[in-house]
Amino acid sequence: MSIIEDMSAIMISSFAIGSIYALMALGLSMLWSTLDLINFAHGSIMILGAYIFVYILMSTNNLLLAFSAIPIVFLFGIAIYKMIFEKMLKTEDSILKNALITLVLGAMIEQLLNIYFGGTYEKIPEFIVGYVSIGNLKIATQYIVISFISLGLLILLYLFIFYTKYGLAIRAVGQNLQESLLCGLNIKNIYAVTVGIGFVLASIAGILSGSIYIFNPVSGRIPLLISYIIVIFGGVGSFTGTLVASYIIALLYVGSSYYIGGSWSLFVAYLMMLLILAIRPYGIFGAKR
Amino acid sequence: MTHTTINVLRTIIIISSILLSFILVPIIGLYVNQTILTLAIISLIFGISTLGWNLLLGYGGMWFYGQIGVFGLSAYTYGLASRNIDPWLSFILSIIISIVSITIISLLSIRLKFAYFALATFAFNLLVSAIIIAIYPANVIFQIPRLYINIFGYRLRFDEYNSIPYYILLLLITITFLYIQKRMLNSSLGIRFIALKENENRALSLGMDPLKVRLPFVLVSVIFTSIAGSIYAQYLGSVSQSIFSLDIFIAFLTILSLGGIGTFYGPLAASILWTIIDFWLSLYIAQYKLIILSIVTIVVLMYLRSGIGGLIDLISARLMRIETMRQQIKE
Repeated sequence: MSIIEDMSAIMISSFAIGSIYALMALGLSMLWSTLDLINFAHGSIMILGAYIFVYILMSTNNLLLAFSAIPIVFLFGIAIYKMIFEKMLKTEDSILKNALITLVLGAMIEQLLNIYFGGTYEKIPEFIVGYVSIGNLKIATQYIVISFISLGLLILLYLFIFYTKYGLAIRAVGQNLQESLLCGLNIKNIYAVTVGIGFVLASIAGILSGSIYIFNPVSGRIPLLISYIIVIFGGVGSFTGTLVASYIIALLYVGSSYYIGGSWSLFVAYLMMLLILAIRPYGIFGAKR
Repeated sequence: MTHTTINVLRTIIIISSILLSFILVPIIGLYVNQTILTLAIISLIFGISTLGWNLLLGYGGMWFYGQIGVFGLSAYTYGLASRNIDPWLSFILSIIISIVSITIISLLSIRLKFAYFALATFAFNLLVSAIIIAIYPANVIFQIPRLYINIFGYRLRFDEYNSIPYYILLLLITITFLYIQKRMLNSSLGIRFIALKENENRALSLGMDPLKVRLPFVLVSVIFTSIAGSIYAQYLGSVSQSIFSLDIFIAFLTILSLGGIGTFYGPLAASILWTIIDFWLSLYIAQYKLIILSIVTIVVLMYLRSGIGGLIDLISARLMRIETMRQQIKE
């Protein structure tokens, strides 16, 4: 294969993967900027979504019905918020303790999935099987489908955050809590919905990536770390920053795993993050918080 | 009870617990049940590491998440080094390597705060494991040479059948660490260290240099964690890549939250408790062990915010207050 074909293959797959990571990282970034919740359970939520999808698909054999995994995860997020995070909000050093709680929660979800499904690998069947060939290059249709789905979702999310009243409220709470309380916003509802949306975004990312790669209960850990790199790289709470960063990091990740080797790609991404943190501690698009 | 009585009582409790742990545990281990020695050793190793973590996270307010990186790095370094050089010298080598790597990561991330610092140090864990896997791809290091001391011509070997020397060594290290920690926290440096946590802007405005104040504490924490990691490798006789897994991190986390973040004896007490619970649970319901421990951790973090150590502090504070009130009434 020529260099151009290599490059275009890398570009296409990193576009699909970057879109998936963008969904995940945007959820993380929303939780971080709105609730000050540093969610270490995001990877486990992602895999949880994929497992619920597989479970419904296996038991009902209906692809459309399987997408009801998404509202289930939304309700799960609200339940978790009501049970744990709401009680932690007003306590002292709640950020640290919430971070510790999510770490433990993530491990717990992994272990539950492990007990229920076993540690074996699962895979979501491809939505549309086949190839599209451009010249010598063969592209799996799944990649194109995934790119379009996630791009559509990203546009929807953008419209939701920037052009609806609820999105405005979410942004307002993230910017200034006292002021938004004065304006009479129902903080608890907004927080609950934000957690739900963050979890939903993670689970969609899980379902999409589960249709490309095989997964098992612990395979959410690396996407979690990569989406953290993305959030830090792009700047917490910045939509465009996160979006741009996810494509850059995905390109870097895929490119380095192609040219250097798969075991080094995370290492490269981490070096990139440390570099950005040393030069611009608030990310490329982030505002000083 | 007057204040002096309370102090005397406290000293008696401390001294008797030291004596008990030096005498009673080895006797039980020798004559009744050897399991207690294994449990004691593991709980001391985890206790030292968590005490080191607590010093930074609890007292210093530094969101240092690289503890498992230091622990694993020193275990690996020890494992690799001790096959080539003297087992005692390897301890020093692993300490030096951990200090160097932590210094590099601290210099890179010293400007960061809170969650950013946490993630940069969390990255350290990953960097370390990636580098180690790249350097030493085989999964497990076997047959780490055992330690020995020559006492008057008699060769005292440390091994799994005779684990009392390990236990005594660890106990001495723990006591040294607690003593150093106490002295450091009570010194003016320690007061500055805590001030940086309580109100960083105020402390900075008073002219404190965060690097200068925090560095000694980071060094002490890293040195003792590194020793704990090395002894872990030495005691097990092998190291595998699973030392970097999330499971040990979660174990440290559970111990820290059970013991109480920012309490003095809490992590050690919780480590003993955790080891017993962990052992007992893995005998009967190994599968659900992690889930039960996780639920306990979450509940403790939510409702019992300062853990076991907080309870100890609360009781002694209550005793002190009652005594003060009684004296006031007398006067």
